[in-house]
Amino acid sequence: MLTISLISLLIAVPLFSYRITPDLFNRITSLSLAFAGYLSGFFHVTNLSQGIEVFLLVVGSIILISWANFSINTSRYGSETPTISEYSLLIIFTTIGGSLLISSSDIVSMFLSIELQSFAVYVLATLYRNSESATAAGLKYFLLGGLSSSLILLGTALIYSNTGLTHFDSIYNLLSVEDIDSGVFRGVQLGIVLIGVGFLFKVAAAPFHNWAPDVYDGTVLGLSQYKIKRLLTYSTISHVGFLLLALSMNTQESVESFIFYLVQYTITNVNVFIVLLALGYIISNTPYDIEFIEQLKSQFGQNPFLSVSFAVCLFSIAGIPPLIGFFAKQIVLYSSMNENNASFIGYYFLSITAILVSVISAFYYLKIVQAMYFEKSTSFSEIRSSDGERSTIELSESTLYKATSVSNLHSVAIATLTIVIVLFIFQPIILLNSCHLLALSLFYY
Amino acid sequence: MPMSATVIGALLGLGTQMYSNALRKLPYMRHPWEHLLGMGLGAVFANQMVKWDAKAQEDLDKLLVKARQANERRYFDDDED
Repeated sequence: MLTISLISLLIAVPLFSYRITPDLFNRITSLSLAFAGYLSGFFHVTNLSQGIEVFLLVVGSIILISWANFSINTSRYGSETPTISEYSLLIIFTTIGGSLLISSSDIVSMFLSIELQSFAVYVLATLYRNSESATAAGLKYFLLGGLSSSLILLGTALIYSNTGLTHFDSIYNLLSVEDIDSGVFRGVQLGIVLIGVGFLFKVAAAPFHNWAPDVYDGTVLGLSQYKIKRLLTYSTISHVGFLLLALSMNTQESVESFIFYLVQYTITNVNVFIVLLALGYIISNTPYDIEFIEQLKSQFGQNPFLSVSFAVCLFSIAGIPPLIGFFAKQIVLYSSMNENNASFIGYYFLSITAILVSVISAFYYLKIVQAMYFEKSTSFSEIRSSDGERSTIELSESTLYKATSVSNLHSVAIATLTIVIVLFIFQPIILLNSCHLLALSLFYY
Repeated sequence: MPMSATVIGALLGLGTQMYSNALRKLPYMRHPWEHLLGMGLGAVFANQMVKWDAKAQEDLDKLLVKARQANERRYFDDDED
């Protein structure tokens, strides 16, 4: 389904782009992603890769909904602004890469899937071609992404040169042999370590996370951030730590907690960004995005429901009960302190560190909430950017009260995700059972 | 159970559409047919969720039996040896 959509769009873009409106392109791509997810879900509901793939496709569909309904020529980025067909194609390429990566069972297909996904994201980072920060971010991402891809490639080459195998099962079977040659074993180990480092680079796990804030926004730590997207990037890095903690234990419970954490974090993070986009559209009435926390001042007075949605997401990310994020943290920490892992004192240390980091990170989420609810907006404010250059943001009352430009689908997506985050506590068994099932299917199928 | 799922789903659909209008600072009941559509979709979604839950529980029970058998084979067979 996805392949057919991609081919259709590739043909349609050059042939009919003057007749098909950008909105239509967006809706068609969003629909094809949702439909592909629906079909996949019907045929393979108990398989781990299919389950995550369905989720990935639905998330891709929701992301496309939040594209602005503006005439792009009004953008500050000049005439060379991205069109919706480019954006949809890039999202579909990334989604295909992700889907193939989930299902890949061979190091060659794994590498090719990662590259397919990464190339689309490199282009996505530089979508605003006339923007200096976007170009710098894209270049940095491309160079560091290239470095991590090289590490993965070197790792796969080492494994292949030592074993002559590329299939995961075959490599596992070879390594299970008791009297395996120590040279081969060391070579494969080194290869796996290199692939692991490459993956840690890709997911922006500390200490390989330095590229992420620049790519997301444009080098100080999370607590001292006043740029909202950088702050959210640092938050992502800390959540990747939680995910890796769950993954490192490799028990049935930890895999279950990993899947649950991944699902809830994706839902919450997608909602954070689409609410931020909606606030940006409303505040400036152009496809501007919110850059500084200052811009969110007194938004509770101007846009109370959007502010409530944003606060709910931030509280959930901070792990405040009874929101979904709290249960995700609880389940990860519970599985790490389980009696089966009691012999590994390191897990206790990691868990306590994770709890401390969660408490500290709650401070910077609350800082945003404070700005939205308790601080008065300034009509004209100057904010110092990270490199010392002063930038000016106009927040006049007339700008704040401009008519809303958030589309119906966009607001429905925000409402639905917010309701899922808040009401999860009343019927948690559906999601928890699904995660349990997916985790068990990994171990016993 | 299906009745309560339908009612809860319809209420959730209605609530979502009203919240969606509130997000855009529009009257809560603007375009009532959208609310009707939301209620219908909510009812269908809630019923699908109930079916999914029952199926997941069934699959889970099967897998747990399979897991127990695998563990028994692993430990008790070793003891017999």
